[in-house]
Amino acid sequence: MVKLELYKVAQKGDLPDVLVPDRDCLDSGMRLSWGDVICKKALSKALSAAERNEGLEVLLQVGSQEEIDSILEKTTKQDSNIGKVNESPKVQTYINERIRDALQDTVGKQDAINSQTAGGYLNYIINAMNSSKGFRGMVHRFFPVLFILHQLPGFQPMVWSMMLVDPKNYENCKRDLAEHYYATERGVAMMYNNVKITPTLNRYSLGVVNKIIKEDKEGEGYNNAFRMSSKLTLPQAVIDHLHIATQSTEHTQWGVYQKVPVNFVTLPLEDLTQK
Amino acid sequence: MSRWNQKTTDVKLIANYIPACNEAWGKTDSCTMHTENPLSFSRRLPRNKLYNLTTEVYAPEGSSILPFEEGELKHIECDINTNMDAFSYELKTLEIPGKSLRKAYSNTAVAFTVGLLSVYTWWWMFFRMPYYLAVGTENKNKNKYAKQIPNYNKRHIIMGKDKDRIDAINNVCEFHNNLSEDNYIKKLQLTRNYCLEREKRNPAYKELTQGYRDLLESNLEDSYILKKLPYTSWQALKSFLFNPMGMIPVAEIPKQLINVRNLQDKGALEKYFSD
Repeated sequence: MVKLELYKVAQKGDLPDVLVPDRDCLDSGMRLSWGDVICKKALSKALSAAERNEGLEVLLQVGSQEEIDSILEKTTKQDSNIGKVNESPKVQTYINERIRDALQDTVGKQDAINSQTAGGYLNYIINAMNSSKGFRGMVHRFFPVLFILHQLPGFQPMVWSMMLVDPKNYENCKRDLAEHYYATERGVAMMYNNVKITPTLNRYSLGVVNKIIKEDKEGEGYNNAFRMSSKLTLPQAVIDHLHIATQSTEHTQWGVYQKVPVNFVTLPLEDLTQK
Repeated sequence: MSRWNQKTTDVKLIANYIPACNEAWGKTDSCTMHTENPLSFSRRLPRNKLYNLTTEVYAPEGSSILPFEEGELKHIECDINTNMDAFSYELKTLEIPGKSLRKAYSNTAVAFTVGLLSVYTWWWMFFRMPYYLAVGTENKNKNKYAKQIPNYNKRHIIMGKDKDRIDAINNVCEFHNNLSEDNYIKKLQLTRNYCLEREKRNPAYKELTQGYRDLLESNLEDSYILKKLPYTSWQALKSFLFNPMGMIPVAEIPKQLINVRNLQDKGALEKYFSD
């Protein structure tokens, strides 16, 4: 099953936690690839991912055991209020729906846009081929050659291949590229409509960072967490998230660009005029 | 998922802990996890069959070590698998136009033979589009094996229990941490030589040497953009032969070097788990 990691990063004070995906939404080539795989059979004997109703598995990375317990409690309470028997507490319907909607709004939307740009790249290849070698262009360009070179029989096979064989290959190529694109697009849509969430414990890297943020030593909780996060090898998207948090709430490095620019023209010219 | 009557084979992938980081990406106190590259891995896969992948993680053991958590292991698994999938997907997309262009040339070859039998002026026809013959042959040779990567049944990750391997990693960690050398590259070279000497006695060192080789290479090789731009004459010739239309670049084999937490600095994290 396709996997996406979501990191539950804390905020200062009583503010609620933030869910950060493991990679930048712009860098979603991986999920596009899975969109392609889902809509196709990898092997003819095997069931395809669409047939076995596979979707996206979201690994919810959590900093402490208490948070996992609290997630499970919430779901059990909800079910008990309704009055149903909770047969599978691991299937957290409430949180599942909330996160699924959030994913479709942010990550899924970006993936859909990216699949369209991927299709644009394929269209670029097709246009490059059409610009010089389309079927009609070929036929119209080389049709007179058929008569001009009629007296030299050695040229006949070349002209026939130019007129018929090459265009067929280009057409096949175009068809394959278009199929490839539609498969990715369909697969991405299918993936985000079937999300399964599994919480996993990550005390030593994510838990430590969350504790540092909550501790907020000298009012620089995000900055301390940012320094620690590269050492603990959290994904770059989480590190970026913490960096933005320091720059917007604690202190900025942008003051570097606020100084007066140096005028390079005046310095040497004065010396030259004196001499 | 396989059908009940479908045979699957088990494939093992070994990931080794290396107590050094790629300093080209900045000086963090983190370490790396190394596995073989996706191409050599896919050479071991069975043809036209589903496979079950178990990734075995080997890390140092002892009292001064904080082992991997479940979430961290899952993160390593995700990184390894996404690298492999991205490689196979890139090859797949690039092979769609490449394949049909090569086919176009081979179809004209049929016309050449007709010309060869019938006329004496056949030979110059070879110069019509000979450069299509080799379009994306590198990608083709890689894709021959890498296309089988998505044919998996299940993938999971576990901690390895082979004592020889664990001893080897413990020894290498000791050797690397007690070196008096300051230069980062020389340190890596010395540990690589240390592993090379012990390969014959314990074959577990063989993968560790490969890991250090990859790490050294990733520090010394060209950047991504220099790999893509043909700036030497040899590269220009290669791109003329394999990429005549400028649309089908060669897919790079990714190195499986994954950033992980330094397991040996238990003291830095202990204060967060005192209670």
